[in-house]
Amino acid sequence: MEKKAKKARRELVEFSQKVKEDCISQLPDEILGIVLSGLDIQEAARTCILSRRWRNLWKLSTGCFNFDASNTLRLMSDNKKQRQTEAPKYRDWVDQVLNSHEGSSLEQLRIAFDLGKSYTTSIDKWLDFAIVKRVQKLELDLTTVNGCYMCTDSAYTFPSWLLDIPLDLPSFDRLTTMCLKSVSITEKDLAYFLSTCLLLEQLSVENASSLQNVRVSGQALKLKHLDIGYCQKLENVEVLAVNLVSFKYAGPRINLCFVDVPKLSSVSLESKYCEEYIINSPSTLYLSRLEKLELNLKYMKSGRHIGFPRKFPEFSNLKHLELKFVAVDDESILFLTSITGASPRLHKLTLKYRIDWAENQIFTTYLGQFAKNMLIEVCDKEWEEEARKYSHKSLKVIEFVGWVGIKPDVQLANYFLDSAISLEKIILDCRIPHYVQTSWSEELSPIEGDREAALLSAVQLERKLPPKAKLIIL
Amino acid sequence: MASKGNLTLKSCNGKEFIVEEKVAVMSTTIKNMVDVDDSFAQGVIPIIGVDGKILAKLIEYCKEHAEADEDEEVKSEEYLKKFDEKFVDELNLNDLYDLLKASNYLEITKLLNLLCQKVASMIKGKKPEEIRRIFNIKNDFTPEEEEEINRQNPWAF
Repeated sequence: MEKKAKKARRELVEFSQKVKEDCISQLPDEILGIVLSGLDIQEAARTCILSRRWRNLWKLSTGCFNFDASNTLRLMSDNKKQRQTEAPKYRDWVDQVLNSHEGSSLEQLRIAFDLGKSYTTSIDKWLDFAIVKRVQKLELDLTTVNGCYMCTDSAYTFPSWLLDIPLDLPSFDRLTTMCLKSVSITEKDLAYFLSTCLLLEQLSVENASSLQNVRVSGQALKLKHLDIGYCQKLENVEVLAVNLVSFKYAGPRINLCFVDVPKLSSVSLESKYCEEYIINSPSTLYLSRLEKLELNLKYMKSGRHIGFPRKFPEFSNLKHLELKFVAVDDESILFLTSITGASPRLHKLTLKYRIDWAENQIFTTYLGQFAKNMLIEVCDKEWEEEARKYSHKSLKVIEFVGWVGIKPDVQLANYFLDSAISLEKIILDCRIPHYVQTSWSEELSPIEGDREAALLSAVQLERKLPPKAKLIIL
Repeated sequence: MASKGNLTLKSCNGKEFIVEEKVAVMSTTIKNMVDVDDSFAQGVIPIIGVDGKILAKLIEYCKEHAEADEDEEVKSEEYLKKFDEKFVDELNLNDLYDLLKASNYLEITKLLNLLCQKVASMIKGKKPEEIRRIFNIKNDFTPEEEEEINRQNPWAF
């Protein structure tokens, strides 16, 4: 691969040596401005060293100003660099670049650094810059290095006064994408964006510490993607958006209500009891249109199946279901089939999980423990009965990511080998998905416990495999 | 004389091309000429400063894209992407400059952006010395000036 790249580079150089004249520098500013807009800001700015002609050209870029400092942020989280010294440097960098910018507009502005409210003056100025340059994609991510979601008093607050713009002045009118992380914003200001930015297609709000209610509504709304995460005080989310295609929620338990979402096809929910959003939903019409559903049930306590809903409204069009959870080692997870059982056209099921060894719960009396065990056992039997009623005629692919090969996953795999009659592929991935703080990362790590045992149990399943199905072990 | 629905474009070195109107009006400049002055639609449209070789290239590009705009099924997005890739890959540096200037003058925005992207990709990930070599850019800074710029470095954080 590298060799090939080197060769291509050499050819490029050889080829260009035939052209002795510096033609590129003779191109008009406007063309070179577009060229530089295709590079990110660091790279575009670096061309100022090429020659006098290029000294100030980068300032004409109308592309993407991505003030990415992820390397510095990583060093800060490892305590190798200090916030007190790095944050002012970051501020000066952004200030310097934005002050030099001469282009009439800018497509994208991304600010991402651990900055609190003591930087209000600067951040206000940057947002004003975004307005003046009629930015289309705006990201302001002020998340602290330690990922702290609770430090509410030190967070930067979105400047309401900035939205108080007379009609004839530039505003956020060209905004298509907005992402605010760890920025405190009021319900009213959020509503402003939704009602005024008629081109807005994507909105993400994360860790807006004081936000209690989100109401998305408006017939003219272009909004396609809505993503709300970890707003600790959030209580109600109401969505009325005719163009909405995907919705993602993570955080504390809320009241979630979809009113008019005819195009909604992909939903992702992450909350300890997120199945309740579906069960308690005032309108279930949207559920019948979903094509992809992702539920992150987080830590499932012992006895989680006792109150788990046995009947879900039908997901008539659901093709792909992804369930993420942390389960207890000696308890059945067969109850999860009540969701798959309600999805007659389900094609693919992905389970991403970790199995924790049961905590030794201390019950005040021996009798208490005994009673609980009895209840769990009775319930287990009931779920086995219940699960037999569900059919999975369309299910073709099942993925177990985090396969351990003990009671919970073995029982579930066996169940599907019996009931999914069109099964084509079952994938058992023995690598463990990472569960960091609140969410699952894409990374997988080698199995912690007994890999041999996991493999053995996987191979044993092969005997039960329907004739057309394949078993893949990773 | 071009038949109805066709336009005749004439390069600066006298080559004439008869093209469908929908292909020619991919260029905003030509579109404006035709819209404003009917005689252009009948007669010959001179394309100043663009020679026959470059004009042929421009027409090749516009033809593919005009047809794709008309019928998405025949020429899919994927097909166009491949066409675009091949189109820019086959250009030498001189043609690239000429096409850049021509598409800017004729306001063929899609092509202009495509060509600019190509130049950007040639700059991407390379050291200043390499960029200078590729494009034959002469470094006309004095060592003192260069040091001064490096000191101000607005890009390094």
